[in-house]
Amino acid sequence: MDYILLIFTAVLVSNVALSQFLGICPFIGVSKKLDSALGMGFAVTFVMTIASALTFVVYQYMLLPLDLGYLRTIAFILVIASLVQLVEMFIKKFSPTLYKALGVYLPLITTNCAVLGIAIANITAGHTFAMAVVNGCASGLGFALAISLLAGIREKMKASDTPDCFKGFPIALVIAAIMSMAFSAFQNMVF
Amino acid sequence: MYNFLAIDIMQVVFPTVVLVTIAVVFAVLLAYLGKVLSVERDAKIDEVRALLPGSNCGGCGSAGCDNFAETLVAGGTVVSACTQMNNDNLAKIAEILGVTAEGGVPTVAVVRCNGGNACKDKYTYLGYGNCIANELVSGGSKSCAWGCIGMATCSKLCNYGAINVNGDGVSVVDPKKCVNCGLCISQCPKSIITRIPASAKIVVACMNQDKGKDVMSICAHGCIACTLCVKACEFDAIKMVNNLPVVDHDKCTGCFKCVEKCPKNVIHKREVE
Repeated sequence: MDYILLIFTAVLVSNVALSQFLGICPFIGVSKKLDSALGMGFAVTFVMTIASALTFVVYQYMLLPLDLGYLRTIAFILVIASLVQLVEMFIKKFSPTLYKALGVYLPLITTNCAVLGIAIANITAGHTFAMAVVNGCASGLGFALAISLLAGIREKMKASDTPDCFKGFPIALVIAAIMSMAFSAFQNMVF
Repeated sequence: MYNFLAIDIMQVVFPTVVLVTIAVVFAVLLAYLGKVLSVERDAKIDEVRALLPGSNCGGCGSAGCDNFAETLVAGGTVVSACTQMNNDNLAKIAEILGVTAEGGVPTVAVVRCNGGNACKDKYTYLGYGNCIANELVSGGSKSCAWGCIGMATCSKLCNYGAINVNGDGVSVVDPKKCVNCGLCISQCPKSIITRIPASAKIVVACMNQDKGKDVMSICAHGCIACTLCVKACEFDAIKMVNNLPVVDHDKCTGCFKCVEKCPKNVIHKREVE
């Protein structure tokens, strides 16, 4: 039951992009087309899951024993940046198809603050290892959901008559704000 | 030693050492795995890529020059699909790939319409203001089926700022900026943007194939197929095909007699070096 609650919370109630406002850069930048938005969403899910596991281990078994818990931000940045590079190399070697599908989004994730945000949130919330991994995966799925929804709306917006000064990013931000308000309704849900 | 900052120096040194250690371990690991996991890549791809224009115009149909180089080496396309390339590089790439490729005459895009405001409207168009949408409404608002709509779809598409709609409501290509990528040619709903040799001295700025009288009734700047240009040409460079003059640019010497004779100012001088 705990896990189901955790997944619901991560995907809907405290959605990374729409209620925590993390990863807004790719959220706005890679949401012009549904295809690329889905690619980005799943690449983030993938990296976030692995990063949650790895940062948990680094924090619990390296930083805490050395009494360096306050270094977690900078240490996690190191871990995530290297991890993304490593994952990219692995995928390039062993699955060219997946590499092509994820394409440029994989290296872009290095700069996605949502990954770091979730890694730190796992620590502050005091999650266990399994919960951290589930939370990472669900948060990634939440991001994928949000970015695909936004991309779907933006594809429709292309055919509509937007005022010139709102074309492109401004109207995307307005859409994102309205989506965020819609998602805030989940915060009143009682499980 | 007197500790004037009143801090334990180890509190600074120890975290630094730990972090640097982590960083170095990751760096070595990445460097090592980078070699182990490196993927063999055909050296030809990089050689070919270096010779491509590198502007990622997409005119060849591939997603950018990198992708084109890969497809090219894999045999999925031909060198001449790249319309921007000069003949030197074309020959070099052909040599790398072990094929023969013959370069053509360098060309640029040109809008073959002169009508604009001089061409009558069929109806008043109140829409989104792009040519493609306009064309959907009973073949566009212009009376002429080959008439430039002047809503600047090509101008907005062009990545090089080479096309602009002039004061007469016609798109005009700046040959100095045009890189011959062909994006405007593929998108113009009227198909009136064509390629012309960069060295061409004249251009026939009309594509209306109707008879003279029909053209006269709808456009003040349309070719009426009077054949005065054919008669004026001393070098046999102009022929009438489907009520339109067709210029043989090899024979044209640039005497501009046809330009002077044309009663509708359809044949234009081009500024070439």
